[in-house]
Amino acid sequence: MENLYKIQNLKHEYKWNRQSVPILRDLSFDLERGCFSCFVGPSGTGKTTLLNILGLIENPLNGNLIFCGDDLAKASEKVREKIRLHKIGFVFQSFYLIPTLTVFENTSYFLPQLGHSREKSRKWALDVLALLGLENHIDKRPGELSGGERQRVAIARAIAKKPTVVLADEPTANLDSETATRIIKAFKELQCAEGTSFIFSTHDPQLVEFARTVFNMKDGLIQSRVDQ
Amino acid sequence: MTSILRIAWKNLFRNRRRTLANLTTIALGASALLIYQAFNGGILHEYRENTIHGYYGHGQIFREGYYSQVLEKPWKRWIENPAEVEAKLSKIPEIKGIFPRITVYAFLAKGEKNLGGKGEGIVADRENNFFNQINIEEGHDIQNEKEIILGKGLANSLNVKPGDTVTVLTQTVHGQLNGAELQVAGIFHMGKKVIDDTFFRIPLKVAQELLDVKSVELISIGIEDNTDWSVVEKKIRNMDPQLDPISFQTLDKIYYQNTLDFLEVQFAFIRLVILIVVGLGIFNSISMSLFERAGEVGALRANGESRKRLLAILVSESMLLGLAGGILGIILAVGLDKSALSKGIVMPPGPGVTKPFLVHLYFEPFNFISAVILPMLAAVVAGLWPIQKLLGRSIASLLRAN
Ligand SMILES: Nc1ncnc2c1ncn2[C@@H]1O[C@H](COP(=O)(O)OP(=O)(O)OP(=O)(O)O)[C@@H](O)[C@H]1O
Ligand SMILES: [Mg+2]
Repeated sequence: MENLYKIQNLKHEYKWNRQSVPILRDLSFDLERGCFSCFVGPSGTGKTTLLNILGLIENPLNGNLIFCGDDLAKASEKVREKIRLHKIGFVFQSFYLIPTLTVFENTSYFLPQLGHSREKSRKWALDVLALLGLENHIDKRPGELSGGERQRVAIARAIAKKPTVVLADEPTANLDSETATRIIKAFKELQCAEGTSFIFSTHDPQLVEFARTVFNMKDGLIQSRVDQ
Repeated sequence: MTSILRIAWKNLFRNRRRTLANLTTIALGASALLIYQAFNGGILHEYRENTIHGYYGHGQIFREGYYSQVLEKPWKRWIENPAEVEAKLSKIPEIKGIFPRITVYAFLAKGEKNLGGKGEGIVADRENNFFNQINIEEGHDIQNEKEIILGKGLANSLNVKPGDTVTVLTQTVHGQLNGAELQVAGIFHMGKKVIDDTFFRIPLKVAQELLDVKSVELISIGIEDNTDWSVVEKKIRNMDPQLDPISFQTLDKIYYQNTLDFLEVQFAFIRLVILIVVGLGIFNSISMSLFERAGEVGALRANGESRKRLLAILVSESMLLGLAGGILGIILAVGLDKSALSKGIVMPPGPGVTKPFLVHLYFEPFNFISAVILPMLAAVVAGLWPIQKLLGRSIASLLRAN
């Protein structure tokens, strides 16, 4: 089976006072479809930057980024935008829901753009919400929900698109450990149910346990890869 | 499309206080625009009524080739067969009043005093109803063939009052001296100094005798209130190509059209100022609320939302804000018109006018449209730059923002 990602000699840096500061030094790794992977490491090692590149938010400075068979390291924003819409779901530490839309509206936000019928979109969104245990909250606004519930809505929004991969940058950093565990378990269930690949970053050693593949990062390098 | 508008509309309720402040700013601007415009409209309306019912009628009919030319012997181009023309005109249903007239330049003499004036021969019993803007200050209108009424300034200079007799001296069209003794029936003012100082009116028949003519110089007409002048004009021309009907706007070009143009330019300037003030007033708040949404916008774009759609949503937000503000502004302006301003606004005399006048707001349908469209444009323009700035940022930087 073809790999989800094939990363070769990936490098990235940012400019600070006209000087180039390296963030990602030289990364090469593969991830297969249906993975449940996690990047850990101290603050500032480049986890967010890497997830952004994997999620086609930023182009890497150097190296190959092959996603589902296409080399996208130098892809235009137009191309990346389309792939993000159809194949990638993003979840963030700060949820970033739209406060004026209901849980249901947030969840189905992208569905009209994917060209599905209204009926199908509606059923789809409701299924995902049920899967995440949010069926009693569909008409609430994000402001009426707890942190864990909000993050589950953000996950629902990402997953409702039926993406190939969900990328989650420290999805549980704003949540207590019990809620955090529940969120990761929800990921796991979705992975089993939908076959979606999950890649997340975290500082929380408790969550690392759940990952099938763990990448330890330090100073912009992958120090070790553990398949557990 | 509907989903974009729906999302945009809901976004307006994100921060109610801020939206309310913006709505207030826009509504005040819109109502200021509307009131200002309606006020100008009121002035023009007032002026129009004054001009139509004070002197010209809705228009005047001349014989072809008379109005546009200066003639050595003007009476040769007067309307020769007034009775016939009147009969034809009375067949046009829109025409409510037919007022044949002759201009007479004459000396008015009273005792030692002797003054030149411009007089008009009129059919008094017809004119008195329609020309209700002539204010008889003393005495009464012309009631028989032996009477004259004088402008206030002229009467003052001649030192006459109702009941006195004045001699009107002029030349016939054949060059002979001619005169008539007339009794002063009343003294009038029309609110325009140039007219009040030199003007007098005498019965048409007397004027014809003084000049020794059977013709009339022109026929003023009054038409149905809501009829377009051009309709009537066309009918008259079709009926008799020898007749040349001219609207009061053209007859009174100097005052009416120039006033219109002047107010228009002045309004264009004020409008610009109001729109800029509105734009600046909401710019800050739009910028701020967009800035606060950086992370959210970043997350949407990370999930595949396009710049184009976000642009549409954000511009629609400004548009809906402007639209709602404009509608509130209209309600405010109309409310003011119905309450505080319902009695009209007393204005000091305008240029060339001697009496103060009362202006009522006068709304034209297109005023309402522009009171909605313009603030909407101002809001959209005010939002463009911050929106552009937000959407120009990289997704990574949007996500790092909060
Ligand atoms: N545009 C930028 N401007 C300045 N510094 C940047 C920029 N992008 C990344 N960095 C820096 O690059 C380094 C890696 O950042 P990154 O956010 O990827 O780390 P991280 O592993 O996600 O850290 P954390 O665990 O704290 O989230 C950090 O030192 C960060 O400050
Ligand atoms: Mg990070």
